[in-house]
Amino acid sequence: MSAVVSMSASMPPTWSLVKEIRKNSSEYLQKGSHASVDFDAVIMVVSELVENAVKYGVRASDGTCVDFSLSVHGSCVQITVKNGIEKLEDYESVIFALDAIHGPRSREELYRSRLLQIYDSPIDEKGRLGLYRIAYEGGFDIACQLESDLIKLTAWRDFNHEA
Amino acid sequence: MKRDLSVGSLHIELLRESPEQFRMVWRGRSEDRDPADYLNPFLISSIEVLSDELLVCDFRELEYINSSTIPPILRMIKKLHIDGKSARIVYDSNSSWQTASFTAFRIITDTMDLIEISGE
Repeated sequence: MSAVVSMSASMPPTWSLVKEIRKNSSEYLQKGSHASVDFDAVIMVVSELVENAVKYGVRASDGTCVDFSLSVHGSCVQITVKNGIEKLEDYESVIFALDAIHGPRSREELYRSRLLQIYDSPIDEKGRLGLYRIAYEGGFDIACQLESDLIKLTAWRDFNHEA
Repeated sequence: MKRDLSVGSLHIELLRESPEQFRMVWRGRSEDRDPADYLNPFLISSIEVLSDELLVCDFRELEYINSSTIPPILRMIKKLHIDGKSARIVYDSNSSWQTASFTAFRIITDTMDLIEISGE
């Protein structure tokens, strides 16, 4: 699978990077013949992953702020976003969410449960709704790797192979 | 009576359709980093305009929302519920993302007598 949209930002990224990556990804999808791919789902996943990287990411020791790639091969889509993290807790909170996604509860149940937590909270709760949304609404699988002080999130889906 | 909010690609319009009904139409894209900063005050003050009218929240022309937009929508639902207001949340049932997003809100509204969610 070759990367067809690949972008990186070595400067501290601003919110406009999210828009730029979404625009490039959307243009790529529209140019290709990806009949079986749900563009809305892909763009939602691209947006959520890059938004998280811009919101919570920092410059890594190798200078990386945000690295992004989108690959499409037939009905298979893979999105990878890499960013520096400030503290190990940021990685651990992602792992906590991914453990839940890969656990016995359905993705829909997890997403709804998170909505309920946010609804019941007296303060403006933030965080990790995007990962549950990627899994439930987008139907993507997600994996996470820690590489030194870089966190690498990969989301993928085969649109011809429905769960 | 009409109230508007336009920020970036997102446009929300609240208008009185009849003596018994207001309609709040959401159009475009909500993709800001912190949309709660302007959505919360607008949505809360819009609800305070209501007396006994039905509020129809019409999301059918909405193209996209990021996950940061969801907490302000939940907060609006909470305010409607606490204030005892009647509301109908309408989404586009032909849109897969809208169907997934808005039907999920039923975990919250299913126990509410005055608030319903429907696809059209």
